[in-house]
Amino acid sequence: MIIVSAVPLLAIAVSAASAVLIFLARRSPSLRESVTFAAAFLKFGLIASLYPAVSAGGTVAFRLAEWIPGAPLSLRVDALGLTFAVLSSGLWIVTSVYSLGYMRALREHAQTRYFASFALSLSAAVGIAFAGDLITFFIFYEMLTLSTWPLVAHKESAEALKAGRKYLVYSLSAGALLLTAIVWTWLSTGSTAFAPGGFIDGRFHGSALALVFFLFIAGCAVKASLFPVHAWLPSAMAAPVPVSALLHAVAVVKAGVFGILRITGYVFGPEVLQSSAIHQPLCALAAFTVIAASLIALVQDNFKRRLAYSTISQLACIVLGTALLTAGGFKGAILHLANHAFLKITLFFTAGIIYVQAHRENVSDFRGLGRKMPLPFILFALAAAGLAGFPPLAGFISKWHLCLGSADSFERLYMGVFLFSSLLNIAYFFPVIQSAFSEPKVGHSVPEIQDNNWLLLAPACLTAALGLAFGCVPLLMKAQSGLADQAVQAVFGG
Amino acid sequence: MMRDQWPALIFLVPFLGTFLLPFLARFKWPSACTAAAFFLWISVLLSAAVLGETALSGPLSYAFSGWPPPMGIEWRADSLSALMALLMTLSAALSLSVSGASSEQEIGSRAAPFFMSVLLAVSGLLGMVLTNDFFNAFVFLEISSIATYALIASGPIRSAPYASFRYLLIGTLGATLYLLGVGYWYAATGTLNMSDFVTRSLSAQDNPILMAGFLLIFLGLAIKMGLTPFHSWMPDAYAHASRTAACVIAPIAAKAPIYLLIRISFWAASPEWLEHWHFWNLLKILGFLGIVTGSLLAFRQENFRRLLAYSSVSQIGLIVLALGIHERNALFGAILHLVFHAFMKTGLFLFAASVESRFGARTVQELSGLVPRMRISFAVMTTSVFSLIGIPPLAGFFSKWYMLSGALLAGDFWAAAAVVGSGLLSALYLFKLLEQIFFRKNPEDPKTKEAPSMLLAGAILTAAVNLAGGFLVPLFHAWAHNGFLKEIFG
Repeated sequence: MIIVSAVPLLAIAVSAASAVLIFLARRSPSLRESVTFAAAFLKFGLIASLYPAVSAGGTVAFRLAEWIPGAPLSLRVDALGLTFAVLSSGLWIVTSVYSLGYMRALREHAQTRYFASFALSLSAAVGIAFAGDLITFFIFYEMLTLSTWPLVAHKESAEALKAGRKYLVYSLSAGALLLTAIVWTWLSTGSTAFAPGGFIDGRFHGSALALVFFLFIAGCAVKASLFPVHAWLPSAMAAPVPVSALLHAVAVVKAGVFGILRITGYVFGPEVLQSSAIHQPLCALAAFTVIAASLIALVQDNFKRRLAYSTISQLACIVLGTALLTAGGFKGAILHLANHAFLKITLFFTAGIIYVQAHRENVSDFRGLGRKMPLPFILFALAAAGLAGFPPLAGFISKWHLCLGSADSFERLYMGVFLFSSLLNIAYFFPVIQSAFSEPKVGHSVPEIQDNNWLLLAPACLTAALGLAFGCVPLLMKAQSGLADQAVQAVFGG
Repeated sequence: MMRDQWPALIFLVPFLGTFLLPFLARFKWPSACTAAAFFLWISVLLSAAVLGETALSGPLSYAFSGWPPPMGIEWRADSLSALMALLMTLSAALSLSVSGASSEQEIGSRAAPFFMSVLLAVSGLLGMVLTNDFFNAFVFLEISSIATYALIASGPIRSAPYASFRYLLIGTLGATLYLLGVGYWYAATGTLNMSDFVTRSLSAQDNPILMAGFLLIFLGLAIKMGLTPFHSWMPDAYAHASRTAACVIAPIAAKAPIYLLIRISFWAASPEWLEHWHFWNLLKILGFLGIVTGSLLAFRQENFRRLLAYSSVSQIGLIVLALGIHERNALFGAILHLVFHAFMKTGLFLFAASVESRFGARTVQELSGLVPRMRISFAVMTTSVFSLIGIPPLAGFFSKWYMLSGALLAGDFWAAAAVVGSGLLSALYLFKLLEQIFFRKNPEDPKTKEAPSMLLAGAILTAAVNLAGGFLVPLFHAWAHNGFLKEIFG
């Protein structure tokens, strides 16, 4: 059932329009921030309003224009896209509260540019979620690159500018590969519209098929920070914490992962990939990334960099789940896309709280902090346990499905990868807690801690609660898994 | 019928206007600038009418003095030349109207000769595009060049005459080579008419003189369009010319030689013959060199206008590369880029003119302090820059799309990589520019104000074209596929 509606377009446009309003309201910070909140709630409301239709099995579609004859631009909201859109727009509300507290506490400069770029990034992320064809997808993919560049370079220090350049070089090169793949697909199939189960069946063979698949995956892998194109993500930690929290744990990197889901499920389709076995190198690469990034995370002393490597490893888990080409793996990937978001954003939030209230960035400097400011570390421990896959937290559910997916696949070995990564999770998160709750070294004093800043703490509590709720509240779990099941059914049939 | 004379009038109005200007200058009103713009706008209307006519009822031909071709000089407006005429008149008329008034501080009392040169340069370019005669094209090449030398020498910087002289030396060489080539062709085929040449050259294809002539003509055009390795005149010329001259000339001057290159390589000669002589590969190699050289040199520029000039070198390389692919979509992409690039560069040169007139800022470094006071100008500039890189859905994206699809259809992966790589290389120097402008703190200058309203309006118009690129592409597509693409590729 296809419902034609302009709501998806409005949902994308709301935050882009708010970027303009934010700029116009630059003289009055409170007005400017109200615009952000109004847009965030409106956007989430519009996207949530699509849920009943989509969960009933429908697809909301909207045709935009036909700029390149034969390749119309369109929006199409299905279960997969809606999951990503609800996730990023919902977390935008939470992150906006956090941003407000963070930017004001640190008296950051260029806040107008910051909030406007943030709003534009959200437009791009939801655009990616709702894109109905490859060209629309590409438009928003490039828009996401451009709108997050000012956020990465925000501090304007030499380090931040360098991180921004690195990010651009990686992302724009990826865009070039993606564009080549899209044009090639368009020429060979005469179509660019996503179709569940793929649409290129029979049009590519042998090495051409492998090359196009490589171009597509390489184009998305940069944003998903898969090895060997992951290096921009740790550098991008030069950005303010809320940016790392929402964009470098949810919107940007998940856009890359989402792209890989779309390419495998809606461009190539499991059957084509299965029969040509070109997904196997991707599986191996993702598995390697999972383990290697976790091992690197073990030795990172900078807290945010440790989180960044953890993100790289978790994203690779999602990619691995997708690339297994089993229904279970695909479902696990979609669930982990969301569940990892709640948990990782909580971890970043706590990193920001520690930075703002105690001015500490390195794990080795955390000694003694836990006694003075227990709440952030409790939240951290909760979210870290969730990521490691402890029930009844959300991470358990998705890891469970990922393991099930690998059990169905051609290589059972990958189940070991998922399990080992959970173990490594504990190994690199536990020292943080251990350090925080141990006595400070002789001669080192515990810094003065500022009072609890509830603009920072409340969002962290909320996302941690979400991470818990999606692991044990049946209503939410059912809704989430219902959408994932729909997507799996569309792609794998039956 | 009046409509048969339209193609000639497109040229004659600004050309005769040139000689009316000194008389008009005796009156207080209209000023030389207004009068020159007026003639160009009439030409715009005529070009639009001719474009409409060719779309509806096929090419228009006009025989000067009633001498029928191939004996007399024939003017011919088909779907491509009519479009080029419209592009040139529109771009020049727009730039002149918005930038002319603010140029007084630069030209002062020399207004009449200055605007005469502008009109003469533009009418020369129009002649090159509309004539169907090789020798006639040479005459107009020279007319536009001589007027351009004068315009460049009119710049306010003391080294402007030197830049002009350099261009004169190189440009004269180019024109001479072109003339020599035309002479060879005349010797081999006995005709100067382009359409006649096509039929006669078929029987003379084994004649090496024909190829020698072709190469000489190509070399002459390559020098004139600033194709690497003949680009060295361009940065100095565009950086030293007065503001108005740069706005009018820079976006379109290279386009007329490119148009002639398309004429001789797609119409006048058979593709197999050119293939045999590896001409298409030569185009691709030179185009690739141009992309790389232009981008890398642009990366090192401190002067804003020089950066734009090197960027043009790289974009011209891209267009030539796309021509070398010799494929339907690639040719369409090249023409799209020809058109859109003119608007991008107009916008950027208008921006350069406005920061120079407000602040005298010529280097990239000086620009950053102006951002808070000239937000609209900088937003408009950023639009042009993004379009130049090929960010979707701006105009530059679509030309890249078609060039890329042409390369892939031709199975030429090296060319495909070059097209994509060209976008990345432009991103390299343009994002460096944006970073220096937006993320480097320079003391804010309280004296500056937003750009002069006319310049700003012009820049906004070009940005609008870049933004509306997507809506224009289907129109161009229909027009090209019913017009010249059908003629060439069947």
